[in-house]
Amino acid sequence: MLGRLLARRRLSPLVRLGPLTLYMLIFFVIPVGTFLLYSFWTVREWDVVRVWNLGNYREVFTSPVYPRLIMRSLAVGAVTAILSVVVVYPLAYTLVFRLERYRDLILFLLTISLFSNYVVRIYAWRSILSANGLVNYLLMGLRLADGPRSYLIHTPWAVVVVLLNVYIPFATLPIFSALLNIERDVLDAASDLGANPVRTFWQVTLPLSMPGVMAAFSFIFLLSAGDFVTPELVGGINGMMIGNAVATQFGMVSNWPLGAAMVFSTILVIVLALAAWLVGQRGLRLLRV
Amino acid sequence: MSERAAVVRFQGITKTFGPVVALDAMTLEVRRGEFLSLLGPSGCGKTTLLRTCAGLESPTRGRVYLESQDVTDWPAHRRPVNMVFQRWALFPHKTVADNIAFGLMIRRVPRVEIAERVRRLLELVKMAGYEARYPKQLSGGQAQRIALARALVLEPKVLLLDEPLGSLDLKLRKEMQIELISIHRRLGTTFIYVTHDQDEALTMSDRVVVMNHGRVVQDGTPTEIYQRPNSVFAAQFIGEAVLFRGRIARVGSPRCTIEADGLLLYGQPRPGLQVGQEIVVCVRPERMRISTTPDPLLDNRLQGTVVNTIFKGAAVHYQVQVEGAGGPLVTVHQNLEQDLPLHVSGSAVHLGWSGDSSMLLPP
Amino acid sequence: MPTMPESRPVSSAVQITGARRLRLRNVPVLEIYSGLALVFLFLPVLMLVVLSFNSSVTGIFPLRGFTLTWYERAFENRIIWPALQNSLVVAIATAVISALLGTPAAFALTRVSFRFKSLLRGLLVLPVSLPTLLIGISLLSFFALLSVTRSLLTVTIGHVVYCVPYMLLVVSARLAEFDVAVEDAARDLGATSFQAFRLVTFPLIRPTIIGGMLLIFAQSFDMFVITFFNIGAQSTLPMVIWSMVRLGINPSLNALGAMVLGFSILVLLVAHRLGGVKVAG
Repeated sequence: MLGRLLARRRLSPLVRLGPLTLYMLIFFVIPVGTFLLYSFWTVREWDVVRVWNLGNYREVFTSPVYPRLIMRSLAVGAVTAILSVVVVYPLAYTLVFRLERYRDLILFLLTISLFSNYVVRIYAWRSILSANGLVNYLLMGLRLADGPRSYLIHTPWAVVVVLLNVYIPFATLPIFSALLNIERDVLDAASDLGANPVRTFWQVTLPLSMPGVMAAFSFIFLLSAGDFVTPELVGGINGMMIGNAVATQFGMVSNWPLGAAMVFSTILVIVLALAAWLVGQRGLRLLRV
Repeated sequence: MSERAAVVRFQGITKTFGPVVALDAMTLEVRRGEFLSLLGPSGCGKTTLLRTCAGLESPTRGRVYLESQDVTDWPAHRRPVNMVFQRWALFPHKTVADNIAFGLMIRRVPRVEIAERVRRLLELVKMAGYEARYPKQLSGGQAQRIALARALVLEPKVLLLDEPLGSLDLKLRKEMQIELISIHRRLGTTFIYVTHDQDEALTMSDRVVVMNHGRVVQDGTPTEIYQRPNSVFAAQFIGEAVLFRGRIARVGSPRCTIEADGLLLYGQPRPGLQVGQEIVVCVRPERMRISTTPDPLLDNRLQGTVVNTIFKGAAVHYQVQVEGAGGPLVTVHQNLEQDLPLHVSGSAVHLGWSGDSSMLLPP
Repeated sequence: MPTMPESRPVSSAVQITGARRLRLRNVPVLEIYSGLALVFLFLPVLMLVVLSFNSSVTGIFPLRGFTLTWYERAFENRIIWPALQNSLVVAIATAVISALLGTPAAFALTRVSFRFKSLLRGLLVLPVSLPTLLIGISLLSFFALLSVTRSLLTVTIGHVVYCVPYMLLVVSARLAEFDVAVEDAARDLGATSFQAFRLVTFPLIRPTIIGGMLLIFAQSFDMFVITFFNIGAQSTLPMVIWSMVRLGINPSLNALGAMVLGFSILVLLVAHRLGGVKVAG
């Protein structure tokens, strides 16, 4: 029966897209919208009071803690994104231009790593970084450490390293795609016209892969900045991010409006930073002329 | 020995891709200033040879010389030759001007000079004013001209062209062929041109190298190859050919006799022919006369029946079933300008051609 | 005046063998780097597997001996089985619903053009690029507002929001490669539109749909954040793992993690074999 619906070409796309669009509207768009509304309400004695006010936002921006958490989250997001792109680019390049034979295998391996349980993987990082973990064990073996010690744990850097590890596949795929789409003849042409391999890379390959790089960067930036599981497990107090604070508001503290305000404050800061970046780019371009 | 010096020399070039042999011990010289075409069917190795000259492929065996210098180990970016690619390979993220200027920028040519040379080349390829456009805004023909300009601006010793007109429509292709010839004459640069289209090769080249299975089949001017093909392959690849397979029956002067499928044919003798030797008699269709009565002045006279009449615009092609045991189906042309009467299907006709027009080829 | 590039062969440190191979003194730098990157990627997974057999009680180094105790303990853990069942139920439901919603939508998006199509497409794919935290808590607040009790159903709803884009992308990619002429041929030979779909189109895209469903199954099976905020009294496997992790070092966690990994790999292998799913490009 569904088949009959799908098969009729003249049937307007409404019927085919309708169910999904409706679903997304109800369970995605509207919830985010109501969540935004929450940020303007307050809480009194465990009940949400639907009185319109900006109190939550004031609290977020004037608090000694939250702005720092927001900036740290954005910093972690940016650093993780930059590191991911830098670490992953050579891998993607090698997959496209060198290891053609192993390409499918490696892509499959990347996919598998995506689906090993997220929480368990972060727990495993504890086994690597904590006292008596892998790093400690190896360093003691090499006599570079004299006892049980943890490394990076309970700092933002642990969060960065773990997120980097988790998001390698996410970063690889867009860059891989972009590189794959470069017409080989264009690279041959660059060689033919006198560009040595390094030059060809800088002047042709890299610029043409930029859309993929930017996609990977923004993707990982957003996902990293919003993570809370990783900071919870390896971040400690120094590694805490805005996601943890938000999750707490929805846990014991039960101040949902404040949590909502935190989320949208963070989004606001990101949007402003992006706008500043774009304006800065435009300005630089004008100056160059 | 040729009067003109060899600017490119391929010495025993063999190239294998795994089990596939793309080039088989090819030895070839390209003379300065000539327009040479590499002609052959897909997979004959012509593009591989071109890319070997450019440095984009490394030969498995053999050496490549540019002006007597062994450049076999030189990477592509160091060779003074430039290529025009089949699908143009323009840099999508650079403007037309930047595309053309690319090689000049790498050589650190001063900006003012770059601008001037880019302008001159754009004029040469009739694309003045397109400096700021991007490749995706160009049509196929326009992109091809820019690719040409980009290669020529570097004043290479040899210009390599890899089937550059293949993706253009017929009319545009004809126009571009004429332009390429004109540019070749103006600049005097050596051109090596790869194509599978024999018309193109015949129209444009000073010299044609017919290739098959990675080897040179025949090497000569278009006229030489057309009038004196050295093999059935060459005869069929360039122009149309009517073939009769048979054996030498008698070697004599001024004609030798060939017996083919019960027919007696006559051709010019040449040294080395032996009685009983297997041979193919090859005739160009335009050399055969078709008429209602036999022509006693022609050595070869056959009878047959018109099976099919094909109108070709400026000429008519007849498919004639030749009489005789296992008589082949041959195609004969009749030029309409001669205003001779047309033959209808089913009518009996006489075919004839001079013994001078019979080309005797190895089977 | 143009100068010819230096007329001497390249120095021996950088050898040119073939078209574009670059090796620093014969060392394949890029390949080694890639190997290292992959080792880094799988480090936690390897740790998990190795330590799951470690007989040390602390669950980490040093390695004491080989044992299967932790696997036994994991199996004996009573809480795991109902949680596992819930995870499976939710994952299957998510996969099926995603397929039903996503497949027709993919058809519309690849074959019909209409205004705002790119915008709509962007919106429908958006959930994948957002932090799951946002999706999780906005759904939570939405359900709370409507006084809907949290349950496995709400969890499933949340999973579908996040997973449907996968189905959309995978089926769209397949349809983009699909030669529509095949359907025209079927209709030309006498099939009705429905028959053409049933006999020609569907069999051709079925592997992709099944592959996509398996992918979504594996994804949903692993989802934690959205589940965390939308679940009721019950539990799913990731939730159980989370509480175990919060309680402290637990060696049987390694065994559990290794088993979950093994299961996911199995599911992915099957999806891959069906050949219709291309995760890249």
